[in-house]
Amino acid sequence: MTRYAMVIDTKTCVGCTDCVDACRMENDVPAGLCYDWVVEATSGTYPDLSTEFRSERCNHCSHPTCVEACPTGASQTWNASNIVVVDATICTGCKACIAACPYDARLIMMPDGYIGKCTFCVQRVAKGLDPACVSVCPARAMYFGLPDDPGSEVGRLLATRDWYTLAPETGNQPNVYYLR
Amino acid sequence: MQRRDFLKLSATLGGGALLGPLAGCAREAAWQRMMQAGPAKVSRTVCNMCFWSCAAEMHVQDGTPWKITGNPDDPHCAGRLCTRGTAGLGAYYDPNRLVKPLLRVNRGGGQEFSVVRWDDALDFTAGKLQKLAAEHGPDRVAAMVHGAGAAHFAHLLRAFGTDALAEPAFAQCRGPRDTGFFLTFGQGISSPEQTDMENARCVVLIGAHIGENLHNSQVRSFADAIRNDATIITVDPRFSVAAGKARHWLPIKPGTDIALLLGWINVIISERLYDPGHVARNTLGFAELAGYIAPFTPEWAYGETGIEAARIRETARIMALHAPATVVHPGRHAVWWGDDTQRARAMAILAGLLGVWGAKGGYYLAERVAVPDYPTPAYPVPKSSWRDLTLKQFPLAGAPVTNVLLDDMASDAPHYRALLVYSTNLPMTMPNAPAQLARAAQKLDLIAVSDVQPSEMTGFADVVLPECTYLERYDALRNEDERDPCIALRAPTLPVLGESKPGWWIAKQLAERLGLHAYFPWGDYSQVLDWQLQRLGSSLSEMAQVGVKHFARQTPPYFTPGAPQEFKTPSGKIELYSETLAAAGFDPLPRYTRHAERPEGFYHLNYGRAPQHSFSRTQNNPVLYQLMPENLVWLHPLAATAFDIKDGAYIRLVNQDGVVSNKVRVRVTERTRPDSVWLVHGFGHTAQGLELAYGRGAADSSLITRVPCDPIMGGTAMRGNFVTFRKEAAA
Amino acid sequence: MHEELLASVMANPSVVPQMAIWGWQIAVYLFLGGFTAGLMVFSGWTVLSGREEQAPFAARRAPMVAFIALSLGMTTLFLDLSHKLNVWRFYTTLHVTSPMSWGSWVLVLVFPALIVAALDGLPLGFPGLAARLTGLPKLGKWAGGLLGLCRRLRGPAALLNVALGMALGIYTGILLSSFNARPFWHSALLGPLFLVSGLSTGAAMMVLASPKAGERHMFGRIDLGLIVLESAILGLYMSDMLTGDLVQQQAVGFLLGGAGARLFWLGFVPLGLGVPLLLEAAMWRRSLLIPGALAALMVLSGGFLLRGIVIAGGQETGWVTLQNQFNPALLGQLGAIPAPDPRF
Ligand SMILES: Nc1nc2c(c(=O)[nH]1)N[C@H]1C(S)=C(S)[C@@H](COP(=O)(O)OP(=O)(O)OC[C@H]3O[C@@H](n4cnc5c(=O)[nH]c(N)nc54)[C@H](O)[C@@H]3O)O[C@H]1N2
Ligand SMILES: Nc1nc2c(c(=O)[nH]1)N[C@H]1C(S)=C(S)[C@@H](COP(=O)(O)OP(=O)(O)OC[C@H]3O[C@@H](n4cnc5c(=O)[nH]c(N)nc54)[C@H](O)[C@@H]3O)O[C@H]1N2
Ligand code: SF4
Ligand code: SF4
Ligand code: SF4
Ligand code: SF4
Ligand code: SF4
Ligand SMILES: [Mo]
Repeated sequence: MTRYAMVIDTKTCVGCTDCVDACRMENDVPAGLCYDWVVEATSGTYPDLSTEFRSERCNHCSHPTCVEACPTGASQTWNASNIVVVDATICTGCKACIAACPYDARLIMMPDGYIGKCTFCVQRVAKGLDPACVSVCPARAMYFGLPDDPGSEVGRLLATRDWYTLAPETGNQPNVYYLR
Repeated sequence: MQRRDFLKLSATLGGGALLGPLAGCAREAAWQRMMQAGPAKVSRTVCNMCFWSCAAEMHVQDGTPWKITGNPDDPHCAGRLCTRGTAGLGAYYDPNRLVKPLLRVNRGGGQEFSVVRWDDALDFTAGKLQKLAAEHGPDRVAAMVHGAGAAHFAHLLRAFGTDALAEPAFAQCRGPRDTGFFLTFGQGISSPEQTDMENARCVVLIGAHIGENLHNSQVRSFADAIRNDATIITVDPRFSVAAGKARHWLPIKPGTDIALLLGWINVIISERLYDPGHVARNTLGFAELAGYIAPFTPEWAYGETGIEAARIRETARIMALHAPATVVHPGRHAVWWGDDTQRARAMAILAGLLGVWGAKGGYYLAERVAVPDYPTPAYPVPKSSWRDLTLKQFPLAGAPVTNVLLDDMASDAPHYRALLVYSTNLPMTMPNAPAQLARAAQKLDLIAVSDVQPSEMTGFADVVLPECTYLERYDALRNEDERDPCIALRAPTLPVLGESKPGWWIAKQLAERLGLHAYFPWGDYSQVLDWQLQRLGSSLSEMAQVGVKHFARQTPPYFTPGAPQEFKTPSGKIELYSETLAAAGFDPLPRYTRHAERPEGFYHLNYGRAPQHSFSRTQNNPVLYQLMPENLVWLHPLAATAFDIKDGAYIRLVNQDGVVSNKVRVRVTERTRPDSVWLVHGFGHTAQGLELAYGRGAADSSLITRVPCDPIMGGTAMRGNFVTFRKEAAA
Repeated sequence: MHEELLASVMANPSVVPQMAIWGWQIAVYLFLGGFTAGLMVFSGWTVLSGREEQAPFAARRAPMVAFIALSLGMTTLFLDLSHKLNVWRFYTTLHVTSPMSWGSWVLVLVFPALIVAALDGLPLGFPGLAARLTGLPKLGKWAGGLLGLCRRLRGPAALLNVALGMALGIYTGILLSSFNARPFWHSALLGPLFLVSGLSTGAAMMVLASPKAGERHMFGRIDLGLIVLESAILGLYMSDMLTGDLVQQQAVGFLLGGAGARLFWLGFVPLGLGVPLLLEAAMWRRSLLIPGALAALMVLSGGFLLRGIVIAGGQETGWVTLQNQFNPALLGQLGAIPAPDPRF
């Protein structure tokens, strides 16, 4: 399996939400909905504070419970990789996959009704481009690539920097990494 | 965002659309369609969602506008547009856009707008101007303009015979900063700011809330500084995003920055942390400064600012340690407390001592391209100049001051009798402007407004001249002071919607009606651009292809270390002590003044930017509305407890003069000083034509009623206002 | 202090309640599925154990009631689909890792078994209807043949009804418990709980509708046992969650002081368990018509409430919590978010 990963540097992310915006424009996300979102986490009390921004989206889990739960095969991985996509022509809108995603990364595409989610911009990845959110980030806080390739930028970052993933206890093996 | 959403939105807002819930079950998802799609058609332009003017690329897929991205060849954006630039299509599709000229008419005793033909709107405007010129002279016309398109109207009005053209970028924004730096270094810090953050070892931000202030390449180079582990020192009463990136956050008591700056200078001089060779070679007035600064110890500064003396010492030493690779960021929106030129002077003196100007990792030296002017006759010399009124009040104002002009127009016997407004929303931009505009409207022969949307400003217009958006027009070449000199072209990328027109067309049409053909001898503005570009060794067609063109630097970007430096000040040196100020009767060395304390039960009204919006121009943009549909008022938990206000509640703010804001949602957070509240500027629209933005959030502008002016250059200080809270009945 | 807020605005099911994953449609379906399962198991059992005369409603009429209930349940299931025209896609594959896929195929098997049992019961259970059918001009002969065939198949059909009924009953719980992503559902006890609750509602239906006092009495006693069992499983479930990991503890908090607590403790517990338990215990020796019917109605509504509470609980709790700082309802102005849809 080709494993793609996104690496987001919380040290440089300024929380501008441009990644959300770029995704909306690139991927024709219906009004009011989003495939990605930014969380602002503040700890401490004035004046000893720290704030971290996290651009979140589908984790393109190596163990995608959403795909497992899908009764029709509409939820699937793309091209023997960990990129999880939904084929709208098969999807029934039964929402089992929404229930099965611990990261709340899926949504009903209103008004059509099939299930949508971050696709890691598979249409761009297929052409060798970075996802739209990665390529727009003004702080250059986002990286995309093959983490298992030690020569890749994401491989290098994961090897040299301290990182975490969201709720690894789910067992889903998420592939969006956050650098501290 | 889907194009059909935009269309649906038009229908929803316009009066109800029906959606087929079952429609499109066999339709593929967007990613599936895009997998098969051919290449999109790309055309190049320059973003106008803010003044940073990033070069952009419009992508049109099968005839449908799809997205806007950054031009990879552009140093302003490096291929990455910011949150607002990425949302540019929202401005194009905004269903509330102005697409037809409007004329104010009296109907049944009431005033209302009626849609007119362009000829009527233009004839009306030109007729009023001509009549005024005949009766009083053309110099009695004033204009408030902003942004790239302003050049067309400036050209028109100068040709007509007036020089009273003011931009809010001076007296409501950068004026004090540029004046303070001009007095010290002989030139201002330009836009884009010459801050070499990517090479800095230390970055000092005094207020400047980079990150929320989303000037594109500036955020990128700030992020580079973080990546490079430069030491960030952020002075801000609020735990801003930039404060969150800082090794040292100094949560200063609002309005006391000059005390901190004096304390820092004191440490640097008393501990001899400066380079004596540099100071001797390149500065003037060190002895006066050293004598003056002695009493302003960190211990003294602590008493004013609330920042411990040890931290002041420590941070000053860090700055000096890394100098000259220390960016003392000059800030941008600098009209805070009324002594702002002096604060800018203190920053410039600090930077001057550290030898930052022209140093790698400090301020690089900028260059611009010599773009020739299209040949037109010389402008007539106006009978009266803006200087006549302005310099009497503000002797060192280097540019026209909006508030001087507006004060005049709202006075009993105004000198200026007509006002042309282009691309600035004065009621939200200039404090106290709504009342003044209302008074002016009674007296002036004409208020003509060119805007893209029904703003608060168009509400005061006699005639509204709807401009098309930046995506549909040519404007003057972008040519700014750059690290790498380059020009960029704004060119139409999408068909013009409705009857809106480019600014150049409106200006030219007016010129023709005013008998100024000679100044607009071309048919289409693209001819002017092509003429200029040909002389730069390019052409309009080449620029349409590349979007950005680079030119070689003529001089190095940094001074040679150790060599004597030449400045454009009268003395040729960095003027730590300013003779110019002394001669004009001002403090030649920055003086710290205590500002009004907050009244019991009141809080500092602090305001600024959110990355999702530009000023008051983007709140109705349907794409950005989805990211931030309202502004919040940040309250420290202590303030919230004192007033028993819950997180998420809607309240109203009441300022020291009893002005009540629109209702606004509360965010209770530790991220602000307990004595201050925070509000993002630009919300609280009162223009009903803005259907998404109308009534959303509170306007800082309306609460800023106590506005001392900087005596040196006329800037309107906006920070010294205080608010308390009024709870709303639960909605 | 730790504060986590969305810097952007999110209108996802997790944030905007009206965009719930599953609402009343699924609660109704799960209830009717369990109810059907109960009816199937008991009707099959009465046939297999030769209790046809003792329990004529269960043996002859219940399959028809079950058929109608399941058809209704399938309808609400269909109503819940947000991309309806693709409903046939359930039957183009069997996705082995997906309980929902298994469930859809189980439903395909349930129907024939149920139809055979229903038609078998028709002549004696609904004689008027049977007569009208067989009396039809042309189709009558054919219908008579069909009824005869069903009669001959009654043995295996009863067996299938018991087996598939059990499968269906447990499936409604397994479906939910398979979701690790929803800690509230992710308990092996949910399958047994829903099965027992389904059986209990089935038994209650007999108590409610049987014309025969003996049958009512028998099922009343059975139901009593089931309610005791159900209470025990619920207790186990809660203690299991409380001793589980942090997310499980937080999840069960939904019932203990959380958003679901009121409905659970003041609604389901007395209505679905407590009062019927007392009533049915009081009738241990002799069934009484009115109290019996009352208890049965309570069990039925309790069964529905349980499904509703569980459906909501799974969605209100989870691994991540996202909180908007801006008012997400404002996005409604874009005409993109559906109007509020009642949810438990
Ligand atoms: N997204 C976005 N970005 C923008 C713009 C926009 O509209 N939207 N506008 C652009 C323009 S034209 C400008 S001028 C800039 C303005 O941006 P800046 O130049 O960065 O504006 P400031 O007023 O310096 O910064 C506001 C910060 O000052 C802090 N502050 C308030 N009072 C005090 C005080 O007394 N002392 C100190 N040290 N800090 C204080 C506030 O808490 C806040 O964090 O932003 C530019 N960038
Ligand atoms: N209270 C308060 N006042 C402030 C500030 C603050 O933070 N708080 N910030 C100050 C600063 S730093 C600045 S730079 C100024 C900015 O002041 P302005 O330049 O006035 O900024 P906007 O509020 O964006 O208003 C721009 C107007 O131009 C219109 N417009 C946008 N694009 C176009 C176009 O292409 N063509 C035409 N014809 N019109 C267009 C918009 O619809 C809007 O009405 O505000 C200053 N005033
Ligand atoms: S675009 Fe980059 S800096 Fe902005 S929120 Fe997203 S990750 Fe952070
Ligand atoms: S994050 Fe959710 S939607 Fe994405 S792969 Fe994992 S389980 Fe599936
Ligand atoms: S909603 Fe669509 S993608 Fe999700 S599980 Fe059901 S069929 Fe699969
Ligand atoms: S990878 Fe693509 S689809 Fe996913 S959040 Fe980024 S832009 Fe959106
Ligand atoms: S900084 Fe953003 S809004 Fe301003 S010009 Fe650049 S892309 Fe446009
Ligand atoms: Mo500004």
